[in-house]
Amino acid sequence: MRFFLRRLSFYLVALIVAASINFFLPRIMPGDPLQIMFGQQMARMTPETVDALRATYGFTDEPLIQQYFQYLGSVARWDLGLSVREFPKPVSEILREGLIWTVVLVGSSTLIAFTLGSFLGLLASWFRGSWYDSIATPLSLVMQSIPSVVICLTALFIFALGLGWFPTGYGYDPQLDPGWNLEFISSVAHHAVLPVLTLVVFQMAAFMIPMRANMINLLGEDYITMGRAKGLSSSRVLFQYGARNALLPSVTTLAMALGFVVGGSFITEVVFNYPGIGYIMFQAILSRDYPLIQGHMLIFTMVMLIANLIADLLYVILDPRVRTGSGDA
Amino acid sequence: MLFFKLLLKNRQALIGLAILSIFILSALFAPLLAPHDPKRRVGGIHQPPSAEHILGTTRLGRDIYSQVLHAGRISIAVGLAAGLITTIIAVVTGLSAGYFGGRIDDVITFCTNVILVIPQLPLLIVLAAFIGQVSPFLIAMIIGFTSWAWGSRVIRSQTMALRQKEFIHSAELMGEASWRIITVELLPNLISIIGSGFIGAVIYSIMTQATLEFIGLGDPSSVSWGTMLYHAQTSSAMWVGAWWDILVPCVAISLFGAGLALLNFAVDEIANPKLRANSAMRRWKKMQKQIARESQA
Amino acid sequence: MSDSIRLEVSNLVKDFDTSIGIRKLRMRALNDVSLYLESGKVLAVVGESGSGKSTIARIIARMYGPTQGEIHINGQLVSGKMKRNELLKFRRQVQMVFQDPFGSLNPTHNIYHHIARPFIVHKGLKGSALKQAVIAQLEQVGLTPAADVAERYPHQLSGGQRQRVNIARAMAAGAQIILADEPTSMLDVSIRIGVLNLMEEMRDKLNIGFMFITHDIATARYFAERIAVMYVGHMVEWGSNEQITQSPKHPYTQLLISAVPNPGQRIDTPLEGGKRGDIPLWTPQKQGCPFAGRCLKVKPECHEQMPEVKEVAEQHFVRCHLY
Repeated sequence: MRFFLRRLSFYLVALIVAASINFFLPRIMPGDPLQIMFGQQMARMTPETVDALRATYGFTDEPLIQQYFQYLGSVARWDLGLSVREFPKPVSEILREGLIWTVVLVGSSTLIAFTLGSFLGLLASWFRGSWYDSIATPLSLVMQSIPSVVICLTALFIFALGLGWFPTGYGYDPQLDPGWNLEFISSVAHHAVLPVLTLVVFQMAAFMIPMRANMINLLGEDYITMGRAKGLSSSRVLFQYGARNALLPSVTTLAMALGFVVGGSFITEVVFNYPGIGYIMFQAILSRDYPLIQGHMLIFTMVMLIANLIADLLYVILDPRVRTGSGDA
Repeated sequence: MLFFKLLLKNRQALIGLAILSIFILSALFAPLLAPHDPKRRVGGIHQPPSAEHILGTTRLGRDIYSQVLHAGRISIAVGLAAGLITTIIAVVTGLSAGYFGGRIDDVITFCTNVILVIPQLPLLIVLAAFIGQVSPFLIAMIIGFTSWAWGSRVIRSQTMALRQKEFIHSAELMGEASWRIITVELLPNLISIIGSGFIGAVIYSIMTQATLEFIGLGDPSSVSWGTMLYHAQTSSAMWVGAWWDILVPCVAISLFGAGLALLNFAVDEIANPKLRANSAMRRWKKMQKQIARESQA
Repeated sequence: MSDSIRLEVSNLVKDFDTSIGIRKLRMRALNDVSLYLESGKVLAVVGESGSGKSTIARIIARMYGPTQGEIHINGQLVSGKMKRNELLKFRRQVQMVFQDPFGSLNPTHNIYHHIARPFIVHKGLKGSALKQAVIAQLEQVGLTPAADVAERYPHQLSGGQRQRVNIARAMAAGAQIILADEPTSMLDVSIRIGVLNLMEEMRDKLNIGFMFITHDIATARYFAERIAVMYVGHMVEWGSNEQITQSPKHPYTQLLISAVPNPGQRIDTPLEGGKRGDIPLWTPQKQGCPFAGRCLKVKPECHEQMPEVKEVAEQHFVRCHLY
């Protein structure tokens, strides 16, 4: 319990740090911060809107510390101000519409990459030095060092434009009305194939390489040798004795890797015009919609924190040492 | 020296080094090798590869071969600079946290953990968006100053393992000063992780730079692999069938990244940094178990 | 060669804080340990692992501070805060040789570096004087050809050779007292004798004092003038080599001595003085004799009260209710 309270308070601090960056950036810039953030839209605002926005962001004449708490208060109420591009629409509402797409995209691809990557890593460790290992391992490292832009553009070019197997963009066929019917769902699935696939390719190595390294370490441990000496079958030793322990570090990698996946998903959405928050962010960048850009960072920070919290939970479930609290890892 | 000999015997390292030297040499001698000015219109719009323009031209009629050579200079320079900043900060913070422990460690570890949970790309985008059109130099700076946390963490844990080694104790007992122990006794033992961390940081920086420029946060008047992609994408090169416009910067980035990755893989294989602090750990765990048993009784 | 030196440890107590789960626990690693070391003499400290014998050496070497108690050299306090130059003087007087010959040399530096550093730090040697000193030092510990050995890296030497390097290093600093923490326990049996003979030679020729930590009373008997026996953080018996090995008083010492293979003894003779039992973990609250649980001659008071130290013969002390 103490462990969780400590983690929770840490996550809260991290969120405040992210919010503080948002708070200070417009203030470092020369000029009126509200003017910077809203640009030409200022002319179209009523005095009441301007006052309301000043209150939201804390752009007031009060001392800085009071402005700061005013802003933190807005964030706590999830009041992120108004979008510039789609003017009076609140940032939080725009982000909420996109979030579901991104969560599905990132969630499903991470799950696939985790399973597939861990399994391939396991194989590479078992057949260490074989042709499979000496091709798959460097290959996955090379794949990892190719930017997601390149992966996405290549996939788009070959499978959508070239072969025409998949649509070139968007989350579903725009002629359909969103709803829980087979036609719509299959359209969503069809549109999701390429984005999910590119994200899987992008992240797989992040799970495969550590899995291989951990397993190679574990295979040298006495209890694995013992298991083999007892005459247990290879696969049983591999999965029951080794994999469970080797997976542990991967679980923390899972949460850490999410930061990179977020970056990858952002590009994927941009290239495939996928209607998640990454694409919304891209639109925001094009029109310099600062409130939306800031809201985007906050929401991704929250996603990261929640993922880390889930990883903490998984860790406790998988590792009894943490549960009793004696292994302060 | 043995290390370099082994490196030259490693097939993956050799391929990696060959790729990297081709890229670095062609970037260095770009003004001599490039037939045209990368920023001038020298041909028709979206000309496919031909004898005159061996990699074709862009929407603005610029020679892609000349562009990709010149772009390499900026992209590689940004990658190296950002990688260097990242590595220096990671080494300084990781070493101090791992060696001194206590309050210093608490503060550094806290900062590292906070940076690790704030997603990088959105943070970079917010920073870049407020700065406006970001020059390659600024891109290198903001990447460098925001991506050291992971490396710092790795170096810290390695330092903590080394710290328990008897040769560090005996250097302390010999009366050596802390700064000397850190730089002369500890640092050489960390060279391989620092090296592979640096290569990783360069890969990451080049990828991130390309991403930032691709989404239009870079300076579009500079010529780098990222801005080449940006221009190709904004001119719908893929949709009008000008595949070469997209393909060339893609291949350049991927090949360079692959070269670095191969080198890094070889470095890891040769200088396996796994420190054998295991026996001490096992003894410690045994003792802990014994304490637990004792306290239950 | 050097002035006589006497290092006195008085009433040393060391507690370590550990935690089991959420509960914090204070363990007593050393309890009321007093001993002295002097030039040209060897004190062997014998005990099983966990008996606190290494902890004594580490506290003397200032790797960590004592919870209670003081350490003096020729009457001067050397535990507690010290100025840099005082500390360097102390480092010149007292050096340590570690157990693990593989871990105690830096794998990234050659042997020359290891021997040269103490000469630079403590004697300010430079240039050709430094080189000559390093070569001479290596030759003195039997590492020849010295010029060749100096160029090598630790992984190119055998365990015994590395331990010689470690001794050479301690001597290069000018050590008058060397704390040797099981210096031979990780070496092959065939090599041990060479390293032991080297230390013996250092003692006789250079008047160096040793604190020789070992779990093996047979090795202690080979080379120590005095022997102290440790059990769970307590010194249970100490005296001259003769006294301890010929007429051990404490049941634990008797157990240790009887465990040494003796060609004259029949194999089916039962071990004297011991029974199976758990080795206790000592905490500041514990009372009684730490050996009570394993002692065959245990009496009721052994569980209740810590025995006093008694002098059973001249300079032969024992901490046991039997005497």
